[in-house]
Amino acid sequence: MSAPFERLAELDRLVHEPARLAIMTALSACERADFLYLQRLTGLSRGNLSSHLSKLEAAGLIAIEKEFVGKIPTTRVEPTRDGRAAIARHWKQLEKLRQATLEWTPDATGA
Amino acid sequence: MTSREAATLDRINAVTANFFFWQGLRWVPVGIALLVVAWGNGPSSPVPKSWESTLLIVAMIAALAVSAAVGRWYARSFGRVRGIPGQHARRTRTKWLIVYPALVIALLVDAIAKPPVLVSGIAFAAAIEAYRRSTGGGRAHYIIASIAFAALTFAPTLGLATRGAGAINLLIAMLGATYTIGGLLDHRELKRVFPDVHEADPPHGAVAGVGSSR
Repeated sequence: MSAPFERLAELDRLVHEPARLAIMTALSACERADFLYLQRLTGLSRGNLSSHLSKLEAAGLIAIEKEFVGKIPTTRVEPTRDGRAAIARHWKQLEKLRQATLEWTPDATGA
Repeated sequence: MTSREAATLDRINAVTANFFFWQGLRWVPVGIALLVVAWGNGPSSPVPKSWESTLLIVAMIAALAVSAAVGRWYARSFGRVRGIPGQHARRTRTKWLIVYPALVIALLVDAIAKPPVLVSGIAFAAAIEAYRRSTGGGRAHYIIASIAFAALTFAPTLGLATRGAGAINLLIAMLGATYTIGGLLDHRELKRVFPDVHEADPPHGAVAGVGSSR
């Protein structure tokens, strides 16, 4: 069995980054959310949030759609199937890591 | 990841999945309307008996109109979320097949049989706790409301309300107070989950409560 800190290296860094983890966690709980919601939820500036969303979109984890609600332009963000699978997998890995940390002792690994 | 950060992410998940229910100010007009109705039905009310149903209808229509306007304000201020279709199917089924029928039966028992205890008190206490749990948990004020409703069960026995209509009116007043105070506190909880947006980014792109070094 690998030590917990070795398992850390297996985590998907794209998803594990704090802001993106918060964004993906929120998106996993809904069908879609708009830019304003994600901005309010994370407290990030427009520029920073846009940058994180671009990275997630480039990785195929979210889809971004721009449209008008009345005369107001709105950006809607929706997790893709891969995105939902990625965040579910990530949470599973974190849970396993937490369990491993609780069970881990230096003697057990010969460290 | 610390347990506090994990709790913050859990809260983000719960609030997003139940965003509509956490928009507390939506419920305040409904609470005020119920308080007005309870006042109108009260023994010292100047409202004539024949006007009581009109007062109920006018108060509820006004409350729903204001509540809808508040909903639009939430969308402008906090953004929009579309839930996953069928995500709350179990809650909806439970609500319509168990909770609402149980509340109606309890109210009918109290109004017709006029038992020495207010059966609706315990029924509403259970309904409030079911609502709290099924809409994201947290919000300790609903636990307090639930306990208050459970205690209300004994109001007729303790002489705090007359059996039948008097006790039901007290129940409506308490429901109004729960909607009003609960709604205000829900809004406060929502504000806690949503940090203020600063155009200057937090260090290293950290999200409030997640990944910050402090």
